[in-house]
Amino acid sequence: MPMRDLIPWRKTRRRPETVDRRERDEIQDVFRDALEDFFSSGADIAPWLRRGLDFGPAVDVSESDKEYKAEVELPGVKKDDLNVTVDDGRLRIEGHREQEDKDEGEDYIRMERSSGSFARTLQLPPTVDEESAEAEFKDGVLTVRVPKTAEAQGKKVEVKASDEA
Amino acid sequence: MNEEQEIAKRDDRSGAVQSEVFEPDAEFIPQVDVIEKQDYIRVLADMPGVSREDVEATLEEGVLTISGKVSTADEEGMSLQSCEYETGDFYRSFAVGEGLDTEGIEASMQDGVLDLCIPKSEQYKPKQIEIK
Repeated sequence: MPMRDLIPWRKTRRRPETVDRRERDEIQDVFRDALEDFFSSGADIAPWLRRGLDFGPAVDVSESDKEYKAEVELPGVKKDDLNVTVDDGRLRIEGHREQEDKDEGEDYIRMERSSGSFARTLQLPPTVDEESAEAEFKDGVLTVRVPKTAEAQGKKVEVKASDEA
Repeated sequence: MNEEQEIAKRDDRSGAVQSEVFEPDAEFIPQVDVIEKQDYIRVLADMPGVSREDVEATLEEGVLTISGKVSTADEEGMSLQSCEYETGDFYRSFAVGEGLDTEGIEASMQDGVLDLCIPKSEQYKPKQIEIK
């Protein structure tokens, strides 16, 4: 089962700065309801939609002959607060991002950045080599690569010219 | 009034840092937190995928502008299967109020977050008044 069947194709553009946190939460509620209906078959797709998680970071998935690549934007997350596991056909990315400590007499004038706990789970096709998954975290972007098994890697199908009359 | 309403109210009222967005070539507006500390204003801007070399912050005539370039080198042989976010450069401008000392700005960049500290001008710092 290819990854793309289970990950919603949803382009999200950053919204202008006039959207405050309240509105964003409302919009997330709409997505949450819509996706819960859509995935009511019970597949474990987007655990962040369930209550208890504060935000669900966006994921881009790419595929080449050799591997699958998942990229997640997680600015400001410390490596120690980030956990990536590949297990039993699932890639799970979870962690949390702390808000800045507020000392006495300090106020937030504007708060647009999300904080708290996050998690995403992606279903992996059976044709991957879970043991060899690798993850790199640079400039706030997490890149996870899961190689395809040797058999699954680009089998070329030769097309022979047909000489039938 | 809950915390969110309070923050929104402070944002409207504080002349310290106000956002204006000019229509940029860049595609994205980085999300920011603005925190008023005792002696300075702190601005934290999310710009994932931007390294220290590719971020810029300028302050000119009362306008603070932050921008970041994201390298969108396509990997050979990779085709996008599922796209939930687009990549692109970041850009955002702020009008900086008078109570800030624009000479003393300090900036650092780590893990895709730009951290700016703008000190308050001397006369705007809270002062302890000695009672004789």
